[in-house]
Order: sequence, then C-alpha cells, then structure tokens
Amino acid sequence: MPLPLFPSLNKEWHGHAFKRFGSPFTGTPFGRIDFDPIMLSHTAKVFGHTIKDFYTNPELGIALVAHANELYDCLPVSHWFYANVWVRELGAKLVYKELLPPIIEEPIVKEPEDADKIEVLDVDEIAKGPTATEYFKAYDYMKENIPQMLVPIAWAFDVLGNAAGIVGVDKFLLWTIKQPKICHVLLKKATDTSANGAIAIAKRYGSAMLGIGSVLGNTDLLSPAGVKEFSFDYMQKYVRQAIRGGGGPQLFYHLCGNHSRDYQIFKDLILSPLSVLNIGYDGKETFSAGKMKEEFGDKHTIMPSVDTTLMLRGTTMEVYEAAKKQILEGRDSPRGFVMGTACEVPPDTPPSNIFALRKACEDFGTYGTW
Amino acid sequence: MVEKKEILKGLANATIEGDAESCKKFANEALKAKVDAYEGIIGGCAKGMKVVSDRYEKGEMFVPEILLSAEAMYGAINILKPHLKIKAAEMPGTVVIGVIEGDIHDIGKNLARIMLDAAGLKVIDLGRDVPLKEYLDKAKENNADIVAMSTLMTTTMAGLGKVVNMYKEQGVRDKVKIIIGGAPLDQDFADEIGADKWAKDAVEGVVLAKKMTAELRKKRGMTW
Repeated sequence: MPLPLFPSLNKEWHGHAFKRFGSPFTGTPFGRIDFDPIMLSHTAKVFGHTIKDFYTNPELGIALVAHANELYDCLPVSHWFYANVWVRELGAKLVYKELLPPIIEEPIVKEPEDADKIEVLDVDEIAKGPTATEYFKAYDYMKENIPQMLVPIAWAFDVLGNAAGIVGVDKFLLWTIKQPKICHVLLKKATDTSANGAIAIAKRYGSAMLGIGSVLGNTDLLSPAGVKEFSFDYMQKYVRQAIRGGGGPQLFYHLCGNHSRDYQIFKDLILSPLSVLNIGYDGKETFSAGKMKEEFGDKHTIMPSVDTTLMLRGTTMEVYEAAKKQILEGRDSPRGFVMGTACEVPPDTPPSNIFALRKACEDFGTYGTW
Repeated sequence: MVEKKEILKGLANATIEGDAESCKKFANEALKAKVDAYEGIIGGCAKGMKVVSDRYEKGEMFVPEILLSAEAMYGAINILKPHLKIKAAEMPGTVVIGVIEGDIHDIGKNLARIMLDAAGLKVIDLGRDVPLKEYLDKAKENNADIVAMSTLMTTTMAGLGKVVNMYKEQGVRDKVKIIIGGAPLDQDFADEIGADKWAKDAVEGVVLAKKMTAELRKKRGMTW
C-alpha cells in the first residue's frame, strides 16, 4: 500500500479546486484558469520514487499524481496510465524498463494472416484481464483512500498506436499502403478491445471518462487523409461504442505531435458537454491558443500547450512567458480554457517550471477582468 | 540492351514510385549493361530517394511512402552491392547510428538510416536501446567518421552526453564527428554535451554527415 505518502487531503483546498475545475463546464467561472501538465512519472521523481515504481504499482502511481496535484494546486483529479494500454488483451506482452513507460516486448503480428488470429475479448473477459485489473487496483485505492479525487478514466492512447505496436510501427506504416485492409482489421480489433475496456470500467464505477488521442496519427508521419483513415475514424468509433456501453460522458481528446495539416479533420470529433481538447504542435511551434479558440472554442474546452522540452530545459521565466502568451490568446474561449502541456510533462521537469505554469494562471487567468 | 541513362532514370523513378519490381528489374539491367554498381546506386536509387526526401520536406510525401520507396531501393541495392568495386574507405563516409540505451523509439533513426544509405554512406545500424559503450567500440572497429545518436525520450537524453564523455576519456574525441537527433533535442543541448551538431530531421542529418565527413577526413585522414 502506498500510504502514507503525504498528509491527508486538505478538504478546503479540494473544495475550492473542484469548483474551479468544474467551472468551464458549468459556465460559472470560478477562481482562475486551471492547469494540467499531464503528470505521470514526474510525480514519482517528485516524491522520491522511480519511473519503474510508477508504472509497476498502479495504486502508488495514482496516489502520487493525486498528491502532486494538491502540491502544485492543479486539477483535483487523479489519473494513471501509459500509452500502450489494452495491448495485452490483444496478445502482446509488456516489458517494464527503468526509464520508460511499459513497452510492447515484440511484435506479435509478423505476417498479414496473423491479424485474423487476434481475438477481441468481451466486456466480462476484459474485466478479468491484466489491464482492467491494474485500473481496478488504482481506482479502488482511490475510492478507499482519496475518493474526492477519483474520476474513473478509460484511456485509449491510442488505438492506432496499439494496432501499430503489435505489428511494429515501421511495418504497420508500410502496410497502410501495401496492406490497408489488414490495417483496418487490426484497427477495428484494437478499437473494439479498448471500447470493451472502457465499458468494463464504466460498469464497475458507474461512469468512465474517455481519454483518447491521435498520437501516432499526426502529419509528421501520415498524410492528412491517412490521419483521417487510420486514426480519426477509429477515435470516433471508440467514443461512439464506449458511450453506447455506458462510458463517458466526459471526453478528453489529446492530439499529440504536429497537426498543422490535419487539424480541420478534428472539427468533427464527437462532442459532449464535458469535452476537453488538447493539441500539441502546429509545425514546430506549439498550437496557438488563439487558433484553438477560433477553430474549436465553440465546441470544446480548449487545453492549449506549453512545449514539453521547454518544461524540461527552459528557465522558469521562459515557461511563465510561454504560458502567459497562450492564456492571453485563449482565456476567453467560449467553453473554457485549461492550461496544458503538449504531452506528458517530462519526468525530470524542475518543479519550479510547473509552479511557473500555475503562476501564469494566477496572474493572467483570473476570471472577471477580461 | 537498355542504355545507361535510361537505366539510371528507371532506378530513380522506380524508387520514387516505391515500385520494388521495377527497381530490381533496372538493377539487373544495370549489371547486364555493365553500369558501375556504385553509379547505379548513387546515380539511380539515391537520386530517386533525394526526390522522396525533398517531397517529404515539403509535406508532399509522408512516412509510409518513404518506407515504400526505401523497400524498393533496398531491393535494387541488394542486387548491386555484391558488384561494388569501391572500397569502404573510399565511401563518402561511415556512420555508426543507433537509438540510445533505454529508448526504443526508432522511426526517426530508421528514416535517417534510409537517407544515409541513399546518399551512398556506409551505415552501421546498431539498432535501438544501444549500450553506450557500443557507440565507441563499433565506431573504432569500423573507422567511423560520424556517430549519430537519437532519442525521443527526455529520460534518456543524459546517455548522449555520457557517450561524448567516453570519447573524451579515451582520447579519441577528434576521431569522429558526433551528431544527435530526436524531438526533445536542439543545438543548445548538443553544445551543452559537447556533440558537434544537432540535426532537426533525417534529411538535415544526411547533409551534415556528408559535410562533416569531408571536413574530418581533411583534418584526420581517411582512418582513425
């Protein structure tokens, strides 16, 4: 058991933070703009644990994020995840390295005909599988120890990455031209598996916020048409299936990497009243909050980014200025604004740079004076 | 018999189109017509691959198309390579390349390898999650001109500096040029760890590798 890690939750802080967190969705601005640096194993470093500890011990991992959220005064919701989620249910093995999140040991689809051998487990079978077991451990721990910060989340980062991971990324990308039908078979199986996972979480906890991303599906790798065909369409399918099975209604969309040429495609993402959209880059620059407001602000709570390398290697003032620029450009977005980072904040990010994000929110994100 | 000019054009076009069968066909035609194998690779496949990389830079082609072109190109290279008369030391450079220890993300490294091969450099691909010492051992063993290291993860960036230090400690830092690449890196980081250059992408990596090899060989000679 990970406790004791940190003094008990400060209920006064939590009440305030929770009201602030909910304000973009309820249309009643409160306090200041919130921020979420997408912290994962950074929290392990902050509390003296290792990256491996974070990923091999879900209860510890989720508790670390919860306590770090309180420490930094950011979103009062805890989470724990990694990119290659639900791949074990497709037959892959995960390995745990010292400096990385879990990775797929080796491709299991060596030839196109191997795709047919992969089976999609139903919701009850998935609930007994390794991935759901990890999530249940994490969420049960939260339910028992820090229930105020539990929002059960079903992560599917990302179905394209999962399908590609079990083939080998290079080979899968080549198959998008040479064997597109096989790619679709694999994507459908990866999507159905992730959706069944989300439904299993929703059944156990009554709801499951859906976290889905276009991580491998970006225009550094694929054409805009390729992003639509192999990433976007399956994100939609995942969300649709998971919602029909009891998942949602909260949605978190994370568009990782460069989306300069394909962002228009994502205007058709399935919406809910609680939909947050985070975009990483527009070419080499972070996707501007002004452009996000203009293109997506009427549909989603926008979550613009500060560059993750800047978070790691920039000075505190550089981070503060970058966050300030984004906040000033997008803080009046119609459905609200959350200050974010372009991807998971690097584990070795100096805590002062996370505090710089908060300071920018405090100085330029206070509601009522714009 | 098909003429040399037509063969080279055929190899280039087949590479651009990612047409593996045509690439093999023109490679065999090249051998029949006694076209020098190195000229076939450089004047044919590499020219085609240059068009592919230019189109990638402009956003007109994407990674799947590059991989298709590379597959076609390697089909031709495999036919032509056994007939190469050029000695390794006469190649326009030898590059030892790999993803640093602890990291397994190798799309960028694989693209760089393809572009380096296409540019006629000798490439020793160490793969991914490469133990740090291997960058030194393999470079020594192969008289490498360039050591190219990449990482996508911020947690493994420190390994790049350790390799540079290993070269310094062994007194062989001036024997090679060190290029680093990967999303979280930049020239400031390259300067900080004592690497020679940061390449923003695979295309720039090739330009740098060729330029730096020429500079190095002028100063150091052909071998270590």
